[in-house]
Amino acid sequence: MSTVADPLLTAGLRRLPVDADEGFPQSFLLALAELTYRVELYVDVPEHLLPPRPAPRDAIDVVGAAPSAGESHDATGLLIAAISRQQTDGVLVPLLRRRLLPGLMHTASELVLVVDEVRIAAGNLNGAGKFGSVVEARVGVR
Amino acid sequence: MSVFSQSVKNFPVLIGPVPLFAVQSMVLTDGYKIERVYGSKWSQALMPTAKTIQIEATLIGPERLLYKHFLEDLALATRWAAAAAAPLLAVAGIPVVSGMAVATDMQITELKFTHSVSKREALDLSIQLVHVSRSAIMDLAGEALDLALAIATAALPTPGPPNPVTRVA
Repeated sequence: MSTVADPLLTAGLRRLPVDADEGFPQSFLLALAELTYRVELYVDVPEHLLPPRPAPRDAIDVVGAAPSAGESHDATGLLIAAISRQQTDGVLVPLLRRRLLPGLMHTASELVLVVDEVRIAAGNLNGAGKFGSVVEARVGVR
Repeated sequence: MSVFSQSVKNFPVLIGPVPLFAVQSMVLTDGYKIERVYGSKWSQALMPTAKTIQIEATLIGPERLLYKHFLEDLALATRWAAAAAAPLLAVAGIPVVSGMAVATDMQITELKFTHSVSKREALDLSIQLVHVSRSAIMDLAGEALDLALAIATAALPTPGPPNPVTRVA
């Protein structure tokens, strides 16, 4: 379930250890409350919306803006997170696959995920490097 | 309740209305019939060969004999069932829905149930279906569903394996 993040419910969450400089797609194991989760992050950008030869520091807008925020514009792409729980027998239990948007809180099974800030640089699409990508999110167990 | 007791949701293979929850293997065969023109270097593509699906599954649980009966009804194994269902099957076959393919207008050509000492309280099932074309519209609908399944599967990208060093939140 996805709702607008409520400060009362999101207190005490820990930072999701995303290393945005590693680039996207990115996947890592996450130890949280005695369990191991598998976190996968990837960016979907339609090829025709991608500038022909973007500079590595060019921002790829994965958020967009709603009309209520003044000047509205569509996002170029999507940042997707897929989180599954890795059981002791190696079986992956899919928990969520959601587009990450700042200010939204996702709950799936015992997991809570809050997204605070999302910025993707063109150089981090299928590439590593310090190009200014930022993914700030917090996770916790209910 | 422990989180480990939540198991992965098991999506069955559907043979018409009958769900098969323990499918062991599924073989889909299709292709095009090519015939060599005698005494010449030419070959001629005649027609698509009939699509066949072979499924090996196990019927488990207390309802296994009910599922066996439903499948026999679908296969028109009894004279009574054939008489009752024939008008319906003349316009629509049995749809087979699985994670690999969606096939409409299938017809069961062979059903084999094995009850053996190696598996107690279970029936091994071997089922063979062949595609029997009813109408071009149903064929097109089936192809469209199959294509939609393929596109939806391809649209989910798979990131590489995770770094073996676990990160801590």
